[in-house]
Amino acid sequence: MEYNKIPNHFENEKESIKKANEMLIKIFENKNPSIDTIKSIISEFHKYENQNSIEIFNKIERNINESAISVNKIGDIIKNTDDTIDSTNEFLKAWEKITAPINYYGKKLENLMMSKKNVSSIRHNLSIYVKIKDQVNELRNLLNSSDSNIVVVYKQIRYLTFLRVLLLEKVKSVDMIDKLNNLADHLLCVAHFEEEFFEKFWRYFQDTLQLANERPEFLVKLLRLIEEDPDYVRNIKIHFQMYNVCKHLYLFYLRNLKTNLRELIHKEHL
Amino acid sequence: MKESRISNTTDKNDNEFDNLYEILIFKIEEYIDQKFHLGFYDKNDLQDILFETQNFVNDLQIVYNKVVACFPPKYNIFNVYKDKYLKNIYDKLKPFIDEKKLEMTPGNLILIARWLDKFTEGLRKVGIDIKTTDIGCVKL
Repeated sequence: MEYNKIPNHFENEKESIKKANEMLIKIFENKNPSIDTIKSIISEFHKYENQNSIEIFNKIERNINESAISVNKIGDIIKNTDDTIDSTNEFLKAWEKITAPINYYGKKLENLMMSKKNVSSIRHNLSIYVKIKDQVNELRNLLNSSDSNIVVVYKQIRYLTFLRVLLLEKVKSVDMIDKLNNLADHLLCVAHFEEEFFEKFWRYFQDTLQLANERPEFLVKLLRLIEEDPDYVRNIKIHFQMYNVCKHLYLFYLRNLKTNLRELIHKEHL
Repeated sequence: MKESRISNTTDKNDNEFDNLYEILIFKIEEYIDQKFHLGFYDKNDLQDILFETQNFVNDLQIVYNKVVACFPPKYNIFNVYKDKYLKNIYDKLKPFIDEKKLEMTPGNLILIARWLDKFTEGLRKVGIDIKTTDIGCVKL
């Protein structure tokens, strides 16, 4: 295209600049201008050819050149973005590698905390058993002081025996035998007292005829203890099972909470 | 441990305390044996033995009248005492109830005949008919 011809029919330069600007806007507005549009624009330009239009077209050319520079820059930015995405993916993989052992050790830690809890509960039980040794002595005195105390002592010794069975079960799963050295003595103390107690308890039935004659109510009490015994122990078992269910529910809740927290931290980090 | 003789056994589980009834019956039988052993310990004469037997029949009357009321019915406590007492008495008298021996000592036959009347009467008071009562596999 030739821009050297200087039109003579325009008197006002300002008017020609305005028109040229309008056309320029049209060019930028039509990102994909049709052939008709271009033709119409060219014809328009032919109408308003003058010195200013040459400058305008030069300006347009400059703008186009600058746009090309911008396009190149945008290309660079896109490339950089791709690189960044690649590096982010690599980082994510690396993060997964890092978090895998952390999760693994987290589980180990959880187990460790659980066993620590078990050990502390066993220690607690142990401290109870230390008191039980004194309690057994008290029960022995109680048993010797009066026959009528046998009902109280019976209940106590049954409960202690039951606890002893439970504790023995727990101790099976603990490796810290050295920490539980004196436990056996305390358990043995209950076992000895149980033998001692029942030796006396069964001896009452030696004099069943005499008891039925002189103290029938006492004989009935003794028999009732035997009758109630399985139910009594079964009730304790039910309570213990309920306690276990609650404990498992609590642990399940804790585990879920931990998982959720871990996911939350992971998201926050990303 | 002896086979359970409880009439209406409740739900049994493997609980170690469930055999208290068995222990109780075992202990009672043990004490009865001990009582008979002490009662007949120095008695070798038939007359003394028969006299001592009357005391055991009195025991059965106490069981019938007073002990049974204290025990739960399903224990069948009277049968426990009755079987054990009658068996012990029979075992002690068996050597004397021999036709040849009785022929040699007819006085003993008279003693036994008198004793049998009292014994039968005593057992009738506790609802036992001596003619239909089995002791072990032996009918008196």
